[in-house]
Amino acid sequence: MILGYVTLAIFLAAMVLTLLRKINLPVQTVLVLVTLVCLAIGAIVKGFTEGAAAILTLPNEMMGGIILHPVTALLAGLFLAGALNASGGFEAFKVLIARLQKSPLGLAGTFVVLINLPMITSLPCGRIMAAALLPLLFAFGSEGGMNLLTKSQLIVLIGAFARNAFGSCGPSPIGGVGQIGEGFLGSHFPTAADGILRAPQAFSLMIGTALTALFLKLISRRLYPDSCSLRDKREGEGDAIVVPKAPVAGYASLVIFVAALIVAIFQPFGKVPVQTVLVVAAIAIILIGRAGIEALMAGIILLPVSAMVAGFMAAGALAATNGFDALGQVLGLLAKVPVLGVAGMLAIFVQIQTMIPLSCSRILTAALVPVLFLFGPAAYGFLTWEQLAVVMAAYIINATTSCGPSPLGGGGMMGEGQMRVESGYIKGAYTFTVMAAMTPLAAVYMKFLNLVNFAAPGEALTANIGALGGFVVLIVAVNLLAIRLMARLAAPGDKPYFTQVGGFLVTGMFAGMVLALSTFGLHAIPALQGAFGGLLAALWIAFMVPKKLEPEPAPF
Amino acid sequence: MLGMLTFAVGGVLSGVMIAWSMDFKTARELLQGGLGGLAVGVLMALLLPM
Repeated sequence: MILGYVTLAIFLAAMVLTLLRKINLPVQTVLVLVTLVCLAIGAIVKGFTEGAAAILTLPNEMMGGIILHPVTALLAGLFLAGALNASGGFEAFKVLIARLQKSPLGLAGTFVVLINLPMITSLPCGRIMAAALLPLLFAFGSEGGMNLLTKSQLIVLIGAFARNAFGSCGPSPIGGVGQIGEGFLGSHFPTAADGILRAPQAFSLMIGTALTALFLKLISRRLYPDSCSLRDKREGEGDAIVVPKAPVAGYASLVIFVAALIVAIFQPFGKVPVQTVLVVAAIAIILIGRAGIEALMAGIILLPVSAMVAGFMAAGALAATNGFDALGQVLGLLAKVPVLGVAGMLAIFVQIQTMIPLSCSRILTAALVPVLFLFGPAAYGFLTWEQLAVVMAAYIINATTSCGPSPLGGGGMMGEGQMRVESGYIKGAYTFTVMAAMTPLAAVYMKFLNLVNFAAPGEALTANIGALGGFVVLIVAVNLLAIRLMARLAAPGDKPYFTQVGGFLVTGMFAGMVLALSTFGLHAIPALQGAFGGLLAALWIAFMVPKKLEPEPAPF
Repeated sequence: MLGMLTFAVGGVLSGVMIAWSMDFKTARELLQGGLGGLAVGVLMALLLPM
């Protein structure tokens, strides 16, 4: 077991040092190095204690941790998105958006749809939609040519869109992050693979995006008033509305794309692997759009794929050297600390990826979802299957949104680039809303509504729409109040910063308490323990928000 | 049906908050934001397993 503690310490130290920029290497490289070091140490220790045969099985055990389904689904999803992009499908998207402005939705309603478009399309990586549409959003401003929006409006539009995009890979049915958790929940819930985690994630992302917009408007702009170099709207000049054009093949490929999503999600032709559906659709789009191979390859983004594989490798190395057993023991010990208990430990665990935000959430999700699974009836027995599903929903939305605020090439940096702000501008808004709103929202949605649709045979669960509504109203109200209070004092400087930290701590406690209440029911002790765990997680998250922004490299 | 209702209400709430954050503050604009959110919520609910 000492071997497990050593490899776990190496893994955690490497991740934190990379985040602190003490190790200036791509996170995938760090993970591969960690894998090699862990395997080498494992080989030495096992060679002495168990003999040469144990050394030979180590690589096998490591490779066994790589789950191919999400990797191939992600590749197929990226291939389809590449084909869509190459054949003008995204141009067709832009035309539809332009036409929406003339509908009863008007400009305000159109922006609401546009901001939520990544969630609706739910592609396997938010970077796909962000790369396609961020330039369009920028065009709404003065420098982009349309001169429709003020600087403040543009910051909120781009920031909220990026928030939505960099959470949309979670509920994606085509290689989404949530599928990693759904695979494990399938051990008990027979239909979990149909998307048991999708609705809780989508619901909390929809509300969380709006709260992010509020935070950006009321707090971030006051906290970093000089960090945005966008020009404001030119007053007195006529608004130039540019109506984009798209080729016919673009519309056709869009129709095929939507049809493929429907087939992948609803499976009207029976059980067909999602990869098959996506590849067939991509080939159809290629044939119709006559897409060139170069344009196709440009659509395939390797970062999330390599991130997932590197994460699985590190997870496999940890598993092979008992690292997860050690982590389970450490968390088990935490659960025995009276002020924390299981509820407090879980309140920290569900926030762990926001505490350590890496460039792609798949890295740690691949490594830590197996640990969360062990808390259930399969190993430690801390949670029943239903409780495990509730905690998994909270964990996955927290995980899947973590690439947004990552300073290690996270998706949010794409948005910051378009907003012309220093790195770290969006961090407070992104981490606050995930910690305080989205994580507890996913938990209550799973507990009071979603579990009913995925109950195991013989289980009779009933929805409690009143409890769901009550919790949602309470969570949103607490967040609005906290944002309002923090906004009153938001300004550059130490005192306002510590006021903001206070806001994070209070809402972190609240989030931990809601998680405990939705997991363990109306019991005072777990609720207080959850609140304390939430407080500790919030303490870490709050101090990661930059006090002031500096040009790269920016310490947090 | 409950799922769709939840998403519809959540969508309206989200849409109004986004519209207000983007400085659309007249009743008509907030209504348009809510309508956009309603469309998002209903569409999303249709795409989810419920």
